Amino acid sequence: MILSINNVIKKFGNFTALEINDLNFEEDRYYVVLGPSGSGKTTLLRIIAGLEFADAGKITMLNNDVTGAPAWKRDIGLVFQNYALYPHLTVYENIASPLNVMKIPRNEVIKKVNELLRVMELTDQAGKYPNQLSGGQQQRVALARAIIKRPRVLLLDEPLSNLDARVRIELRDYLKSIQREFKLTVIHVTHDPTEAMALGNNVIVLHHGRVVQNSSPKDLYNKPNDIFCARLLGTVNIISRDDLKFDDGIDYDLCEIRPEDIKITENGELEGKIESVQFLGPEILLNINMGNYHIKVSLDKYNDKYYENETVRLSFNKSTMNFYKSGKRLEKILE
Amino acid sequence: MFIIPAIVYFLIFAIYPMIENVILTFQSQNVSGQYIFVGLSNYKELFYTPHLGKIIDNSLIYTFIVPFIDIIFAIPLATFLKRLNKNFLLPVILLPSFIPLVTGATMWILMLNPLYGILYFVYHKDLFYTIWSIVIIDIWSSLPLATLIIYSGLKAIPKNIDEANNIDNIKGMRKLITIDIPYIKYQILAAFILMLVYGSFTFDPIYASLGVSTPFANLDLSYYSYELFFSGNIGFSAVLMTIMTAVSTVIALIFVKLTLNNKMHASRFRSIHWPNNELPKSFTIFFTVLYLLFFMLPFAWILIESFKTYNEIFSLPPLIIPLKITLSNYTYSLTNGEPYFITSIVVSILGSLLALFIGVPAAYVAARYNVGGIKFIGLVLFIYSIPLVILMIPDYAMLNYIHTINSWPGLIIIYPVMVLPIIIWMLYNFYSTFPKSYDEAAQVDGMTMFKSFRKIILPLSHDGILVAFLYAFIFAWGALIFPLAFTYSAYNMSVLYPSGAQTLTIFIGGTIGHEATQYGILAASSVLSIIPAIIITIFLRSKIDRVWRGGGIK
Repeated sequence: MILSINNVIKKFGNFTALEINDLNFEEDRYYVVLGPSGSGKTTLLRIIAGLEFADAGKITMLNNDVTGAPAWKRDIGLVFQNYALYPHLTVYENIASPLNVMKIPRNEVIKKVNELLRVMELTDQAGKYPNQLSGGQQQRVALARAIIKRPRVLLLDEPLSNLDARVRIELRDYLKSIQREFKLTVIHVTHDPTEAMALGNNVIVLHHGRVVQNSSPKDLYNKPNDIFCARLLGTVNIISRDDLKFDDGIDYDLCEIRPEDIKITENGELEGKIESVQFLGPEILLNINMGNYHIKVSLDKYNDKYYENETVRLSFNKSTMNFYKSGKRLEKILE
Repeated sequence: MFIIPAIVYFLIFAIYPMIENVILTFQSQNVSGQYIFVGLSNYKELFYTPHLGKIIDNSLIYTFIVPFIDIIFAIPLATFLKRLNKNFLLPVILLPSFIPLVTGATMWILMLNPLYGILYFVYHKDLFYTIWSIVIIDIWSSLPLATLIIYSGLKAIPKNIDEANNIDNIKGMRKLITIDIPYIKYQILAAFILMLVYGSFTFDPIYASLGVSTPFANLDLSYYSYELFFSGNIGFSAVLMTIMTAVSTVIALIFVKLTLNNKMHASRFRSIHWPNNELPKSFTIFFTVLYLLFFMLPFAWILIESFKTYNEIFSLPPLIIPLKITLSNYTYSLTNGEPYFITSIVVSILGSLLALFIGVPAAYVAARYNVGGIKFIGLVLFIYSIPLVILMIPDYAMLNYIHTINSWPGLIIIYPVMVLPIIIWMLYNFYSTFPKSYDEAAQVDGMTMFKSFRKIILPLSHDGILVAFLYAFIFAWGALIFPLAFTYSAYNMSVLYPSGAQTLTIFIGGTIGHEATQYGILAASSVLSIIPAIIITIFLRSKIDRVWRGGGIK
């Protein structure tokens, strides 16, 4: 275990921004902290970095208590959302700046920076100033500056949110490869569920300052801990018991099923009328009126034989359904 | 159409006078008052004026020593202010820049009196026999402004940069020199040039100290050219003003260029290993208190003096705490100074309002529709940074032509030269960040541009306009050169046949300031003259640094 957070509380006035009982980070893994704005994810990152200090609790890094340690004494690197590159320094000088403070011989600094420039594919940009670079290149410089000291933990604060969609996907792979190459523990904060699923070994979901789920992306998608987590990733059908009742001895008030787990078949047990057909590229999304409620059904793109106002019969893949009692998921499932 | 009044005003009262000056240098007045062409003979006087060497030396000292010392002291002070992060400190420190310069000079004259001022306890020589008294007054009154510009630059450094420094363990002197100073290099340069303009244009303290200093000890070009103008030597005065115009144009152009483009360049400080330790907080507090003492001591002394009786003022050694508190100084000042107070209030308010009337629409269309573009804003900044004294002769002729010399309307007409550039520049920055959607919505609703300006924009920008007005008022309240040049008697207190328009600054600096023994009354009048500045500073306290940050420099 490289980093652990115990009973940490952070308040801003009367507002409790963060309340974490027990959160541990292992070596050489990619953690994504996911949550809407105001959920406390940036506060968590800043407390780990030492830019804010917790009101109570303990933070341990490699068996050392670092709760009150200043940022530069912690074994971390941080990439800011808007990169915070020094505009008056060149790419080379920006990356070298953390080393210049330490008493490291000059030629060694040059060697280290040049090596990292090569790995990051920035050698050609070394003499340029940040405002001469593209967004993606600036991001890579910020990343290089954060890891030049070879920290054990790399913190990323919404690193991809200022980039356009194409560059974002490129950099996603790049982040992952850097993490593997340097065997870093990455803690990546984002509000983008796709990013979280694509990158994380673990996804930590924060809601109102508390950890509501800490699991692999697959578990988060298939077995969300509560309704909040279920709604977080992708489209989901949530149907109340009043509308659709399964009498199998389960005491629940909501049931949940993903659109791709519903099939349209001749002998389906439910009947509904197609209200709209949306062609989304890889899939086709049907919105079906079931009388009291609506259901979204996802079909693959070749399945384009359905039209609006058509009546169809649906069959649910019951083993993938989840049931919730007062917001929390029940372990029981239908056979 | 919105911008035309401003341009016409500038052309008439600022640009034309500069050209007219050049023409005047080739002319001379004959006995009947007519101007005749005399060729280069005015320029010949440059070589026959005995004190000119001394005067130029003094001008150079004001122009270069003052800004240099200002910057050296402003950077640490701004750093301390940012570190201590106490909001009440900024308005306190700014006070010396916001009070009338004549009043500031008067404070120092009373304080530095070798027998009856605080100086008695330290040093028994009269500093007003040397140029350094004026240098100290210049620094005292301009350092706050330099500090404000640099401080607003420091405050504008993104928080993330500070945090990145924290993570990289860059702090103290190293952070200041390798990160902060390169980051705000542009503000430092802007402050330096503004102080250059300020120093080269030293006038008010020289005027105020005329009664206590030796002849020519502290005279500079701008004061000397005023003296020449006053004694009727128009031609030679115009020569000196033309020289100042040329010099200040060069400085002003650099200033305009700097203000309008903001580029980053490499720093050369990095290779040195600067100490990487934070100064202990107690040191920061200690130095800040020293600064505060420097800024506040004159205020304290003048307040004490204003309550002393005549005998107490001239007691030796000086009394720190008066034994008998008297209000007679204030009553004398209010009764004898009444016409001056009235004139100052009326002229400052109406002059600033006139400037608002011309300036608000111009600033709005310049910012919103880019009317006039960068050239108009360049013109505004240029006029802001030229010394007012060079406009004196032609503006006098113009006011004389419309029979408004020595009257309120004359001063009201001419005051916008001084405050209009400030108003336009502040509001230009204000409207640049003003959401476009308001007047777009108004136009969609069918309003004309004029109507949407009047019905939508003006009501929505009242707080920005108020700030600009108060700022302008402060400058107008402390004005000295224009009233000095364009008036010669006090308001006669007549409603039907008003005449005379000398202002409070003349009352303090001249009428009683040049009489040697009226120290108590002088102190009381000074205290009264700084009250508006204090009220406005308190009112603006939370807005001051935002206003300056908005446009980078002001």
